[in-house]
Amino acid sequence: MINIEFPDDLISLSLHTVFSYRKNDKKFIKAVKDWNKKIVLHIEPFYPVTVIFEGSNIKFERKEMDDFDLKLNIHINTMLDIAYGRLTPIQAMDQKKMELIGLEKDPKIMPKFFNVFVTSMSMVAADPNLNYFELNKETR
Amino acid sequence: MIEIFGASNVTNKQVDLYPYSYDMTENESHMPDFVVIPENNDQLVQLIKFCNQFIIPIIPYTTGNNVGGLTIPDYGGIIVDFGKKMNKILHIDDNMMYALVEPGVTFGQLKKHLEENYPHLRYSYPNAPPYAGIMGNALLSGMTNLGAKIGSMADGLNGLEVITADGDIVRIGSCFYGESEAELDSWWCRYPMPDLLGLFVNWQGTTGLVTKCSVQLWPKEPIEKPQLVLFFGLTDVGPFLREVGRAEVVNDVAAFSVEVAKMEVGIPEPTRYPGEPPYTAVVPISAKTEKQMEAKLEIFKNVIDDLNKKGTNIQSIDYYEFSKLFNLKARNIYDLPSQILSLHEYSGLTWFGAYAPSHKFEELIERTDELYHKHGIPPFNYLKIMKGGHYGIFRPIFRFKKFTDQEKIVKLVDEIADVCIELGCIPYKTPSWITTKLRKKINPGWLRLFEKIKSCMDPNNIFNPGRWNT
Repeated sequence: MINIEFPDDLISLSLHTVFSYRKNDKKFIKAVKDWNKKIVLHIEPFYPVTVIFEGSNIKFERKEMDDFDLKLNIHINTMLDIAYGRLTPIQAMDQKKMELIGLEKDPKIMPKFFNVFVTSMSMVAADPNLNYFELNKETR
Repeated sequence: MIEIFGASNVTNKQVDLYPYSYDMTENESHMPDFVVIPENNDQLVQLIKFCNQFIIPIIPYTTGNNVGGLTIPDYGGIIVDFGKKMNKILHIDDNMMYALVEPGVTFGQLKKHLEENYPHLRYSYPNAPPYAGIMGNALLSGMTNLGAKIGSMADGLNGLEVITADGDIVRIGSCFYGESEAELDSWWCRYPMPDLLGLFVNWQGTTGLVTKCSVQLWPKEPIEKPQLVLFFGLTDVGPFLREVGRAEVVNDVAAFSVEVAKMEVGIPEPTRYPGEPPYTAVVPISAKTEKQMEAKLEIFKNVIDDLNKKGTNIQSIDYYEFSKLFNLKARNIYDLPSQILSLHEYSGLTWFGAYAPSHKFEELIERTDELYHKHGIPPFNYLKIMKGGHYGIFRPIFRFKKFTDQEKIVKLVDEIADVCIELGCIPYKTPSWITTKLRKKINPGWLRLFEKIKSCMDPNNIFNPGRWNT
């Protein structure tokens, strides 16, 4: 079981929505439980948010924490391109539309980061449901 | 009453009357004496004659969703509830694209009917629940999600059937030929005869009982690519609305302060944090072909690029993609009509909805922002651009807890009303405490003409008395 804090800023709330989609997904739970990392997402043109994976909890800080493990800089439209399959993360980095800072600290962090963030977004984007009232109320 | 309407369609039981005595707003409640449920015009003619004889107020009521206390019976009298039985869609004219409806027809009802039977046609829908009535909104010049193209809902009225104070049944518009009932296919235009609709539009039911109306429908374009626009400067939304309005590529612009956006996606007590855009907008864009859509989006993006070169910080995002990925609830603002649950979750709702001179948008935002901060209340503003950029809409709107926050909210609305009226805004669907303010500023000639028409149309002041301070 993963606990996801309900935030009250736009970007953290958006991430909350994406993570909540996989709240009961065993692969997701396995990936994030006891991951104990701080990931900064700076989605332009918004502000940086630090996602804190701590034990069974996912929390959000509305700022860039100094002791982050990984930082992602990306524009919101590039993020949508990746989520909807128009661009791969590698292509985005090649084209300098996406920047990852801190990879040298932990070489294993990248695949897990992609699983937790990019795969989750792609799964939400691929869901055919467009009605919020038909969402799984337990997860979203 | 029982002789006219039948025993099952008349009530004066307190328990039945109570729901008609108040609405969501701060306007003082008052009990009616009777509620009647009409089925036909003959009953209404008899009712009007009876009420004129004994000077009894008649209050038209469809679904009770207005945000202005407009159906509260300030002086008692008889509520005429059209919503229960006079709620039929009488005709859809596929050729000349209009719907002829009775007063109780709702937006949800018409939308469903069109989707099932005329999927190539659409109506213009407001940011209102599906159970809100069409006729009330049209007669009160309400907003629509085609506002940037066609203007207000009253601009799309073709004609009316009205019962006047002497019991005459009058047909206005191209349906005016003939003595008895009009042909169903004759409700296609408002002009070129003298525009008698003006005797009933925006009068808040004070000049007669409207029993039918014809509203324009529009081709439903197959391709839709709504855009989400973010404004990172406090007043960037002002020039955007003016420029995108005259670019003539969008159906509507529903711009609102970010606090509104956050409320709509479920944040209980929204406040704006540094880095969040003070304003956002949902912009419906539709087209007949992909190429036409490409061209419209190119013009749309050029508008933003040109403004950003002049110093604004405006960004646009594909709204479908964004809302699907990050919060499906956001689609509620786009898929109209819709019930914004968070807007209605408190016991009270009120507003200062106004037509606005679009060159005053920036000043309206800045000056109302000062008032919001002074009262410690987050800004809840909605803005629109209308009819190709010819005018704007500025609407501060507030949910509130009636028994704890009403006094504070009303004080704020009062001060906002003063600022907006000073800057030339003209409120619509307006409660009488605000029309009192307007009367101090309206030219005396207009007021005299208004009073002359009112006393001519309703000599005994039986139609919805109190509205517009009548």
